[in-house]
Amino acid sequence: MASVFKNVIDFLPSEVGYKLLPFRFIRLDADRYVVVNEVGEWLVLKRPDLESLVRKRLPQDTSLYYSLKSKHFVQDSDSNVAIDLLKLKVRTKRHRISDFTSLHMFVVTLRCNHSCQYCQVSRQSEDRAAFDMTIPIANKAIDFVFKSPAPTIKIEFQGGESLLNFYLIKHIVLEAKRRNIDERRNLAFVIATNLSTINDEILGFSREHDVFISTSLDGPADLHNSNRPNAGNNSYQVTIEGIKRARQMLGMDRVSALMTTTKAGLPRVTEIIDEYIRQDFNEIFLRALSPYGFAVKTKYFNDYDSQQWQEFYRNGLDYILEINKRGKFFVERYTALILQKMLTPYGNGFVNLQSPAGIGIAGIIYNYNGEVYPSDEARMKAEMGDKIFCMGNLLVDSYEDMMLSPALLNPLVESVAESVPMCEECAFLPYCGSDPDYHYATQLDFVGHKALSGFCSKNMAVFRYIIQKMEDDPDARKVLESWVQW
Amino acid sequence: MQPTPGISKDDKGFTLMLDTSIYCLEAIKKTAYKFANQTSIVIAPGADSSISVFFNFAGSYEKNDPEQVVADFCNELLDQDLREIVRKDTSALRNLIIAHAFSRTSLAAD
Repeated sequence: MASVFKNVIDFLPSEVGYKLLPFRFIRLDADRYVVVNEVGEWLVLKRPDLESLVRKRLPQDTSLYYSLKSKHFVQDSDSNVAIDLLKLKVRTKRHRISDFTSLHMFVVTLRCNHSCQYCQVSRQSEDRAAFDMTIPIANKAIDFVFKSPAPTIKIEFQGGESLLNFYLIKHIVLEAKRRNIDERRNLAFVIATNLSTINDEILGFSREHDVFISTSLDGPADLHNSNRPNAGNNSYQVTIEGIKRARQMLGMDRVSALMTTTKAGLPRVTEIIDEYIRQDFNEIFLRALSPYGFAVKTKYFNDYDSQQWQEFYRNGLDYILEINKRGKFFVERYTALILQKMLTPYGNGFVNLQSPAGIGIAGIIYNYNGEVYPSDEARMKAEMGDKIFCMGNLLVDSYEDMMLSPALLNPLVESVAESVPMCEECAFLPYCGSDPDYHYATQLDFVGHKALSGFCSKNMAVFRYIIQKMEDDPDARKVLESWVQW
Repeated sequence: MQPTPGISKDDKGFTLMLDTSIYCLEAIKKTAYKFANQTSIVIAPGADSSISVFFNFAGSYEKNDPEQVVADFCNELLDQDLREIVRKDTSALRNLIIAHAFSRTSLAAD
């Protein structure tokens, strides 16, 4: 009778040893290295273990070997599925690229009633109607929006102070919703505003059409007023009252806030976080200044360097983790975006952490005058007189002309981090991305020399700190894991 | 204190002598590129299989500690050497994985 079992030899390894699968590594601190595979799965190793791994001397009966094998750093004769799994994981991680442009920003006016010295938008005075977007331009922009194949579309209204042209915002919301009856996309709207002109009409419209509100809150009153001066020198009070009013009409989850770090805020990160908690926010985005617009013109961008922001971030994250350990759920949003890449099979749509860069293909911006730019930063650059990123004008150029324009394709092609010096070998590449705007603004080059890049220095420090926290502090790891959304 | 073998110092800067039978040129160049924010580096051929790496700390690099930078360079060079092994061993596989991951999408031409 024939045996129902396979021969014993079928259960023995066909060959001894293991093969390396693609991975990158980088020094984490004095003693440890972090190894990261093609899709961002990672392990921390001591130098001798790393050396043994690479030179294929690692014993195959250790927990370290099994960990490396389970995360596809090595493959042996036990199974040959690792490569297929990696292909699938890469495809999942990069899925958003095929969705194409989902964030569409409309600069409905360049007018503003604030005069923030760090403003990343080159403001115009409030009474100059020449800087408002018109209905014909808005309609052309809506045409452009729906040319994108993205199943989820977010339309964000920006300025200047966007609500100074609320009439146009209403038109765009109603027209986009009308067109979406046939298009059937997941359509969302956000108004970015300083809330100074918020009123019942605006809030009633926002409630009826499910419009989100995003505002700026830089910290306690003195810091906010100093960063964001207005005519009454009461921008903090105006913002806080606006937040309360908007929440009453729209609900807590419909109102969010962003902060910008200035030199005055650097030593005050705990106070800034406390202010967000006092105002009942459950998250903060510790955001560095960008080298665009008035931030450059007024030299604000050079007020502090990347190292100083890194210390600000580390102090802030430590403080937030302690708050969470005491039982209050409160998220640092930039960390959470990175954790999503570190701990889940998915990527995210954050424009500045994409490879190829997110410009144009993750987000796009329609300026008040019909000019189209691949990012808000590129638009700010244009307002300072450099239109290198200008893709064309809605009034004369087609979607195809603009999406295939050298102004977009040249920086995109150059921004594939997998082929950029230093990035291609960097273990943090799966978490990072390219920022052609930043590198053009600081080095006059879309790629930039990464050893000289504040973008690189900042992100490397953040990635290292997050991994160190997760490795060295089990309670912090639990908190960080709780911030990840699937 | 004994001088470190292969490292010499004069009034113009530090020179590190490396043997390309031990460290590949690619690893040396990649390491040098990474240190552009700390020192100015010139790589020049030496006798036989050796090459010299010259570190200049003039100008904006003056504030850096030259001995620390050279020590860090040596450590990074060891890492780059290891990376070269991984790269040679896995680059074909990486290309295969990426190619298949993006196949049958509208993103890649057939």
